[in-house]
Amino acid sequence: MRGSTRVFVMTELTDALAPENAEGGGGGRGSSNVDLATDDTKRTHLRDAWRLLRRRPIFWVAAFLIAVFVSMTIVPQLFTAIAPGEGNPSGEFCFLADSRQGPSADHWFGTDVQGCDYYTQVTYGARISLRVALGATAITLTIGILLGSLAGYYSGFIDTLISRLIDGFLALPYLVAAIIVLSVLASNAGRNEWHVMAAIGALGWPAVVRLYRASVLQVKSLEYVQAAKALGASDARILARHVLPNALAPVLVEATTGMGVVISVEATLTFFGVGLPLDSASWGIMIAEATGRFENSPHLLLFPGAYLFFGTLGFIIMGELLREALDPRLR
Amino acid sequence: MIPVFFIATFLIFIIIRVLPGDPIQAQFGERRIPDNLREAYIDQYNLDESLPMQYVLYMKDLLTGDFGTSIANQQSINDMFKERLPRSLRLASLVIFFETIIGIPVGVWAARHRDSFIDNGILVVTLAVLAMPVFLLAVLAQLYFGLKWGLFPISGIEDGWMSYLLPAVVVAVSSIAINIRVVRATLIETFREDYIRTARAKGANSRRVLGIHALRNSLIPIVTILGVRFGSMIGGLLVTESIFNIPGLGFTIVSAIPQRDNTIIIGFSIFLVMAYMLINFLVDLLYAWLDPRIRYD
Amino acid sequence: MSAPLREDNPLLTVRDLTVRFDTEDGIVNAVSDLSYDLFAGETLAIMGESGSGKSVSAQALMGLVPMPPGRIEKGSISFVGQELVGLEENDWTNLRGEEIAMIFQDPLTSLNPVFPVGWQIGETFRLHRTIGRREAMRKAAELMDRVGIPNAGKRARQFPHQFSGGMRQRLMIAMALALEPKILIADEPTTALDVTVQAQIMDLLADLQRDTGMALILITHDLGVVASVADRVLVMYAGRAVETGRAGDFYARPGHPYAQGLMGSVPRLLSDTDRLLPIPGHPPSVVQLPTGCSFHPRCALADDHCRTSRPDLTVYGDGSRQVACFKAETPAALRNQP
Repeated sequence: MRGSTRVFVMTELTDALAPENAEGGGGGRGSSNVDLATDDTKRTHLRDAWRLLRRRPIFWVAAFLIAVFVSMTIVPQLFTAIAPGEGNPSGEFCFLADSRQGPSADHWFGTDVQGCDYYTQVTYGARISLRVALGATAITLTIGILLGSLAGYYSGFIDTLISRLIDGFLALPYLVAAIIVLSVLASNAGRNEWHVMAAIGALGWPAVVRLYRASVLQVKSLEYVQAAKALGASDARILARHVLPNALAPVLVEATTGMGVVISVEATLTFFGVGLPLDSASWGIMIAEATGRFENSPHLLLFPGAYLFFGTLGFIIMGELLREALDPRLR
Repeated sequence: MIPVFFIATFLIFIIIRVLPGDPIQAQFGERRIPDNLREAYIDQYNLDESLPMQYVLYMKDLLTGDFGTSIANQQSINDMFKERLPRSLRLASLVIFFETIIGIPVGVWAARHRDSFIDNGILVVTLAVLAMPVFLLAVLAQLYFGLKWGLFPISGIEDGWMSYLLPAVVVAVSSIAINIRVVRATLIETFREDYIRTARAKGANSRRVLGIHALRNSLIPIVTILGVRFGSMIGGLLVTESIFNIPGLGFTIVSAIPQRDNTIIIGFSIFLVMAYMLINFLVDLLYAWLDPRIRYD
Repeated sequence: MSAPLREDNPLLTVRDLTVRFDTEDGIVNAVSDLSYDLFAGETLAIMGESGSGKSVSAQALMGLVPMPPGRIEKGSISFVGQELVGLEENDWTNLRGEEIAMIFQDPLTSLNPVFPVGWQIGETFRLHRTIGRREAMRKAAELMDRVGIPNAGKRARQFPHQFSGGMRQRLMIAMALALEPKILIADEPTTALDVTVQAQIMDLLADLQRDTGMALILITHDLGVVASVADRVLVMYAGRAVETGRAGDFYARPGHPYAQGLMGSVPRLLSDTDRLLPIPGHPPSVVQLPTGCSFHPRCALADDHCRTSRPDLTVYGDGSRQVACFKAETPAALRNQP
């Protein structure tokens, strides 16, 4: 099963609603997430979407989860007074004697192998996961929007070329390719988060390109885009000022869900030893090292696992909610 | 389809050939390799040719059905396929079994009782399942069901079909979640069509409307999606195969990477690509057969 | 095209029908206090713009109003003595197709694309009678022949997309009339069709009506279509009936300013007006209807009374015409007539 099952869910769901688009084509109902509207109606749609979202309790749950993890990344100090790699708030080093203890009043999540406070470790693990997720998503979005614009706007040969490329990429088994790419990029010691970001980002772009291309195709034929063209605006300008804002919505939805997926994929790759290096504080590493010790110290596995789950969950739920809210067909 | 095949295989080829590390040296560890042996290797794998040429030569062999020989154990790749592919297939077929008999009926039920309390619960649960990384689920399942409670074998394939059961369940969990959502969404979409209204206007009751009119139409997109997912499933099993030590296709590829056994990596990966494309092609045929609008055009 | 009107036994009696929808933007009053009678063999045309409630009122006659979010607030629909409001779903499935049938606007989307047309027409039989597949197909082919589809035997096995628009509407008609229902409701049957085909379809409906003696409720916004087939006319605006009467009288002298506006906005061959007058303003929001008479914001004759109280249908003339307007038959109104 693809680690990034959601990538497939999104493409498949859109494919489901417009099977004629499943062949890599675009336009039509498959991209009906696009808000084909003037600026005014667009604002009302956004407001409507916000109103809809506001009322659902699950929205706030997801928002809360995301907020918690984002703050863990930016201001971990809010969550733990201890610095990572230390044993208690007074800044002392970890005591080996304390190693592998279960949860207690002093150490909410217990201690790790070296006696350090596990709660701190796990909390700081959020930073790197979210950073990688952000970076990879940014890369995917950039490539995706760029290629999608070219394919959708210029059609013809460029479009065919890019579409074939997408099909070729999609034929590759995702995880296998990711593992191979990362093995290629650097050995375990030499790898850093940039490698991981690049690898994951580079493999996720087909879905985004397809979505964006479909949006561009729809927006391209709108009147005011034609008007801008007639007035002599350059292609780049049209793409940036008129096409982008309108075609962006489904891609942003995809990006939100994508964040969750990347967190999950990164953890998977790290767990298998091809992701982040051993000395990084990633949840994947923590889980990998905890499996052998599960019998005596299950907390070493369960807490980073829980954080991983909830971190991913927040983004995935939010992505789904956004998709429902912004889908004009459901109006 | 053909250009896509070549693009995909070329991509694989490039990526792997770029792998640093001397594949020949990797087999010999620290020992020095005698020159004539090295030459024999180079000859066998065409390593002295340029990259594009290597690709062409490789594809030539491929198209005659020869996937080459593993550098590490000198076993023919074709033989390795025969040995390992069935294991992945066994796993995959169990997964498909579970996801079909559970996923589809639940999806249909959810569509019928849309917006009910249970339906909302189903939506939340499926989403939560999708948020759980497969490796975590596999690890937890292995540790709890296998180790702690001793209910299932946790490793290897000695126990016949039983050894495939737990890993299949692990993979099936997220498969089922996707199936439920896809079936539900497709059916709901179909319910909104005009011909459903016509069927009701003729006096069809809701069971008939659902079971005949809606389902038959929904089948087309559902089969398409599920079919495509099946196409990429075998490659995706690598996580579970690795954790549960099932030497199938994915497991083999992953093990071959640190060993730099390029022939295995390329060969098995290309096989996955071919399987994906073949299944996609079959799905297209199936789609055309199911949809009269395509059939009689 | 006039069938004899009878003061006795109406086939269908609608009284004070009120249908509301609960939406997120508020309560939509789709239909309010609608009342009319329908007699066997006659053709009643229900006219109005989109949003006037004409389609919803027809759906209510078939029990096809989606019940959440819709609800029938009050009123009664009496069909041959049987009360339809509140009917059990089981009884509805027996009724639909057998006694009351409906055809819809877009025949392409209204036909199931994956089943042969003969099967779909045959389904009407199989749902209400015990007959086998083969027999049903045979009857379907007969019906297809009756509605004018050439080569019916072979074409019964074909699929909807293999037929043209006009043919598809004939198929819908065949499907609806399979069991010779007492009432056929046609919801904008010709709107999606070419003009030439429209006439053919209307003729077909007229023929079939003559043969079977069924009543026809024709829902439309097209005045031209109505003129050729209707016996009586009912005009709806903002969910209410604002005028009813005999078709001929209606065309000669529409009473309600809205109806007059409709007439004035349609080009007529034999009149000497040289300007078309669209009705100013736009249809009222379904969630916030104007106070008093719903039409007053667009009516040249409106005064304060119109703005504050709602006019009921009042009988004029020999009793066959009713108009819901305070100003009907006033000199100003009479001047507006074509």
